[in-house]
Amino acid sequence: MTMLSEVCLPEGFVITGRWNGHVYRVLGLLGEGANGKVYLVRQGRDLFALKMGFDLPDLQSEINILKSLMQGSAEYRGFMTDVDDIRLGARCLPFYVMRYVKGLPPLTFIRKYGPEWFHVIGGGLLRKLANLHRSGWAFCDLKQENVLVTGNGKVELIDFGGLTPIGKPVRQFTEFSDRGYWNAGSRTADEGYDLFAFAILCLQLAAKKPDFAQFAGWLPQNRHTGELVATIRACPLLQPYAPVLVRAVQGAYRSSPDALTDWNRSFSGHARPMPVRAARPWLGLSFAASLVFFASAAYYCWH
Amino acid sequence: MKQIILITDGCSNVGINPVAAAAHANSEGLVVNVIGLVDDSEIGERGAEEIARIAQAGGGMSRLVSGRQLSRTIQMVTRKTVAHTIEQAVHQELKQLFGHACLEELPPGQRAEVVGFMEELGETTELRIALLIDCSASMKPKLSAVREAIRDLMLSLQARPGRSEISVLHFPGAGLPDADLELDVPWTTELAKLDHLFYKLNMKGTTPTGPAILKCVQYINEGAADSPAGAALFREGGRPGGTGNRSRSGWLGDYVV
Repeated sequence: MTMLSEVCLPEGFVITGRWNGHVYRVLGLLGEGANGKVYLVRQGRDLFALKMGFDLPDLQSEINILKSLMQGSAEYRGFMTDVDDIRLGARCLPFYVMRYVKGLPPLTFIRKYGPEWFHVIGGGLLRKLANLHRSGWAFCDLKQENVLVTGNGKVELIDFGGLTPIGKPVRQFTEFSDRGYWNAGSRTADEGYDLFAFAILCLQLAAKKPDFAQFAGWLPQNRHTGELVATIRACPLLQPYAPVLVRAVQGAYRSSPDALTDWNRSFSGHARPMPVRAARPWLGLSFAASLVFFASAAYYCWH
Repeated sequence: MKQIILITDGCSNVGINPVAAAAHANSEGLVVNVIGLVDDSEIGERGAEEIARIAQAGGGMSRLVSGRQLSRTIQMVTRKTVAHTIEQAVHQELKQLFGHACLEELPPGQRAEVVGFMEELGETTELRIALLIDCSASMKPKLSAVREAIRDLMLSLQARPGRSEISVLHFPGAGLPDADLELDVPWTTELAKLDHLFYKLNMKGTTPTGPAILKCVQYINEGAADSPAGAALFREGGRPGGTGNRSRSGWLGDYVV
């Protein structure tokens, strides 16, 4: 099997499906996951992402899950467009074709366009998660690499290898984002599992790099939610969202729409530029100014 | 489904050849997986070869990893072993139904159904995993990683719908001078039972991997009782002089926790 994982299709390679006969031209490698490689491919004029698996049962079970997601959620109807095999010498490798999302990883996006996008991206992510949860799924492997932000700040989830029916054992996770790794709960898929990973992702987006590097060295006995809560509270960018993120880390949310509501509220609170009392003299001043304007306008009108 | 996961960092140096012991385990219906820990010390060509051969004879897989990758590797190995065992059983069925044993030859629709069935089976099947830990002196700095990985494995297993138990055993035993194996944690489904693993260890220099595997097979299949097959192997391939005065309950008598 190690040989198969080293298979890398070169640019320009033409894939012809063994069962359905669709033809795809490889344009490049988009990414590499635990169980396969994702290529950017072209079919006619359209671009798609094509995931090729190394292990047939593994990839097939992902395909099964995507199929039921497509049936159960309007948002993902039409997500997967083809399922087939490719013949490579004596071997047959399974693949599936899905819609291609062009975008940047969230951290790259924020570095490029500024931290004011943080709110939009966080909210978009929570909305995506809430939609999945409503259809009975948890995303589970939520991390930087599995999220893309498109030009206008729209968030897309891209790797569904971890997608798990709520209540079942998490299929795929990344240690650092895993609730179990932080001694903060079970490894059973539920809304709280995704919200925990969401809080970690926010921390990764907002914490300065040196702060962040130290987490990785934390010993198992130091890995508990108290440390995470302290780190969230200490991070300036996360200040307005600290109550939401702390609750997410502590598993206090029953459902993701609640978290989304709180997230949106924290933004309107944050957007208020000055405390109410300090704003009063300013208000009075502008009222006086507008009176003067009105008076002078009226004076001009009369004469 | 029963598995042994052997975690070691070097070559056996006492007693029966561990490859033969693993072959015996496999013939008793167990799968033996081996993980070689290669942190600071080099495992050496001989050690690496032994690890690969034990796994091969035991019908399992082997990996050489560092402490940081241990958790992930143990879970991957466990999951793959379950999947592989089920795959083999399903291939038998396929052969009877379609005359070929290849999932690849099924059209996608049927394939989806078979894989869905395999997955269901994999999640619900009962699982018993014995973790067999080499605690010879050189393993000392790696034991915290091992402890962490065992805890993490239990956490993942707890999410399975099927009953999953683990037990932890280490070798060489600290009690009697000839104790090859000691039971740290008997079959359990609880995380709390794993909290004080390996804290009070008396580390020794010998590495009786082979005898430890045999004892482990006995423990899994028959609890404390000696299996006739295992006993026979002891007599034929046991280390010189050491096997005669073994007490039946010696190795299970002294729990570390």
